[in-house]
Amino acid sequence: MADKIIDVKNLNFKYDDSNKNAINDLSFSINKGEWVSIIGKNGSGKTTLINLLDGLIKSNKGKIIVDSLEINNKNLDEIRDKIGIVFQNPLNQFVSSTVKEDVAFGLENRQYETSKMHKIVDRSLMEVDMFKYKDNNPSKLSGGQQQRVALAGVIAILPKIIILDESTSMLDPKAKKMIINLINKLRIKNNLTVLSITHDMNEIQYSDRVILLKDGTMIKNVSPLRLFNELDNVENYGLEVPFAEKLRLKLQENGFNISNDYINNEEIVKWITQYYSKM
Amino acid sequence: MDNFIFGRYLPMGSIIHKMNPAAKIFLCFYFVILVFFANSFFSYFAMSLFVIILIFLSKSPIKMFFKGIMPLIWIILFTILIQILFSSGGDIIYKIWIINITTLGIKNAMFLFMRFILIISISTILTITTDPLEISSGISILLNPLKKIKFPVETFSLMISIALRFVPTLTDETKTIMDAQRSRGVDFGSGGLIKRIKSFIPLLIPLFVSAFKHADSLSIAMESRGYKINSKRTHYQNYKWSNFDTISFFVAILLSIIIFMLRN
Amino acid sequence: MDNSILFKNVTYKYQTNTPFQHTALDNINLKIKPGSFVSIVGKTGSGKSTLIKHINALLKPNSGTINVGEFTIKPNTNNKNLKKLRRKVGMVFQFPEQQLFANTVKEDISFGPLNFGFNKEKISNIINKVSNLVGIDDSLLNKSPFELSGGQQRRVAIADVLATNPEILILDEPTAGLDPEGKKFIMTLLKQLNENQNITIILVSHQMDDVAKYSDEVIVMQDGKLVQQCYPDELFTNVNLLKKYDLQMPISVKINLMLNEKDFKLNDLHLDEDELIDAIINKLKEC
Repeated sequence: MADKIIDVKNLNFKYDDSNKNAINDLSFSINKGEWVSIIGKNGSGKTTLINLLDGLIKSNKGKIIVDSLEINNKNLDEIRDKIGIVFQNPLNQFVSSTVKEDVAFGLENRQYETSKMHKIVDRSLMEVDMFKYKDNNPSKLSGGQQQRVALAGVIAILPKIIILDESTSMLDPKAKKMIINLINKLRIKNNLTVLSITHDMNEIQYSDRVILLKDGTMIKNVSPLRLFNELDNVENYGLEVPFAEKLRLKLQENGFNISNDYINNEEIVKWITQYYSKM
Repeated sequence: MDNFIFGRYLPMGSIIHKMNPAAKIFLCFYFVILVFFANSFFSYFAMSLFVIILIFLSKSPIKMFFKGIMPLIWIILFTILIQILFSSGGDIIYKIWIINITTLGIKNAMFLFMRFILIISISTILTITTDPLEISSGISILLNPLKKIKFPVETFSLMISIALRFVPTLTDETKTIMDAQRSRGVDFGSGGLIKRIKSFIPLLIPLFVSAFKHADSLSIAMESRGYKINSKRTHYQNYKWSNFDTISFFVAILLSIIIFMLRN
Repeated sequence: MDNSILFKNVTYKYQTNTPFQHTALDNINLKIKPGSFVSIVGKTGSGKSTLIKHINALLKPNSGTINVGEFTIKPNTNNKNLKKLRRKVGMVFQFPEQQLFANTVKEDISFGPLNFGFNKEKISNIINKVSNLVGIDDSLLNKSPFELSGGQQRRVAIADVLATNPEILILDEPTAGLDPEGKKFIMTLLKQLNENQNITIILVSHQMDDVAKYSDEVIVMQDGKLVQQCYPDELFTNVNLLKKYDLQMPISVKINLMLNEKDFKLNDLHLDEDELIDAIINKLKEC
């Protein structure tokens, strides 16, 4: 069995001003090196879950174990050394007017020596290919560049887990793709675990597993391939049905004998052309 | 606002740019105080010569100084006029009703004018050669002794640096919200006073809401990046003390001696 | 009334006479027909936002003229007397929920109409009409806009602009940051407004699937220049053009291309995904 890096047991959370649980008896675990997407409509509890995982809010009931450490009030520093979060709006996570000093923020908080800090900042910026923007003002960069700077700030502290809180939702398709590829590269290189809140189908297809939340309750915990087979109407969960899946369902409806499982663009094109040439 | 705070710094890499920001800010204040001790033609001449040398050393373009003076020109002219019209003493040159124009009045007005020019020039040199972040670090170094009386210097300097960081963001937002409300028929700055003030409500409320949202999200992001209020932090920027900084203190002492010798 | 939009040799420079001077629009000539659905695409910083701000005179050109129906905007156009133009041209900015400010949703929606001098009775009709259009429930009208969810706020912000009955509606990435359901709702709404009320829609977007599906015409901007104005199929079937302008290929075009390569050829090009699916199925059924 693979190593569990996150283990959540019977987690419950309710906001003070609400009478409903925002997180409802949630249990799941994530293995080291996995890429797991958390999906669900706005208000389904995704961001609340992440705030709980990082100890930014306290659960009412249940346990969270991060890298064999159960979160309590005293070990929040250690927990935050293990987890780095890239938020949705890059402008809301920068504290400094230069890229280099912003990347250094986490290191300053952890009281790294100045000389060591300089080395780590340079290295982190190189990893995200933003070294030449070191002295720039992060507010003046493009959205994609801003998220790369944010990512540099996160990897500078060598976390084991990277959490993406809709990190690509404000980017154009090209920048989106670039960020996802970059994170995947870093994940493989540094054996990171990635937990990503997303609506983006491309990103979901990258992941090993998908956790679907609705009203704070877990509806599904499956591979992306199975997600479309097991759900009747993914649109109800804030997801877009991929083109190939729409086509497959329509073909089935029309009596064609096509696979019962989700298939991608290449596979469905292959199926169509083969069917056609056999005629 | 953006241009006011950020537009002034020019990364020319001169010897003045490379000075320790704390030393620069301290000496700048010192110079301002010294200006008030000058009271003779020659002492003003010495101060001006010194500023001209600094301008030269800092590679600052002259037009930046005019830019610094222009917004204040009416205040300067007004104070000078008051000085000329209403000071007494010295020989009377011209007299009308209760107004006496005297030699002393004219002299004082000239000195006052020089004070303005010198103070604006030295602070312009400071802002041209020091980026806002360095200024905030410099101030926090200078405030360091206040730690003894439990003043939260660290928090204060981080606060300044975050405020500076949000200037361009909020400037952009202000522009967009203004454009959006203009498109909805708002005419900013037209009509009577009440109407004008009222027209800013649809701008100010969204700005406040947005600032609070930024603050809310930012505090979560900062916490997730390991920030804890009032706990010790190290600094990425380490401002070294160079020989030039030491020399500049000696120059400051020398200048003070010269000024005191040239005083009346 | 003819509500054509006409740009003649329009040039706009940011920060003129400073070292930071930058030509945002470089000699733009274009015509947008009344009642059309036009998308403007291009990289960030290519001049799209600057272009649209000229249509309701938020920016005025350094040289050239813009005609919007009976209005003419020139470099020296007076800032007064722009109200009628701005009533005609509605503008939805990126993240328009940022503009909300009033105590209630109702007041926020009536803000524009009041500025443009609509009477009370007309305004209450309008509130009902536009809140229905954008799918804001009546029960929300007396709530504070700040109590609503992000998606709802977006809809109210769009209602704010629709409330002045614009004849031309300009939108800068109106679906950015929304979930797929919210995106689809807004795109369908735009199509409806275009078809049923003959409102000219000008859409700035990075979502090529939407551009391909909904627009009658596409304008491509690059480095402040208008480099292409054509029908969507002319642009999206030309792989070289897409590469040249650094644009994503819509999924429908991609699938079509993949099928073509393997000798499965459809008679027509279908930019709408659903139409493409039907076409594929029909062709398979034929044989």
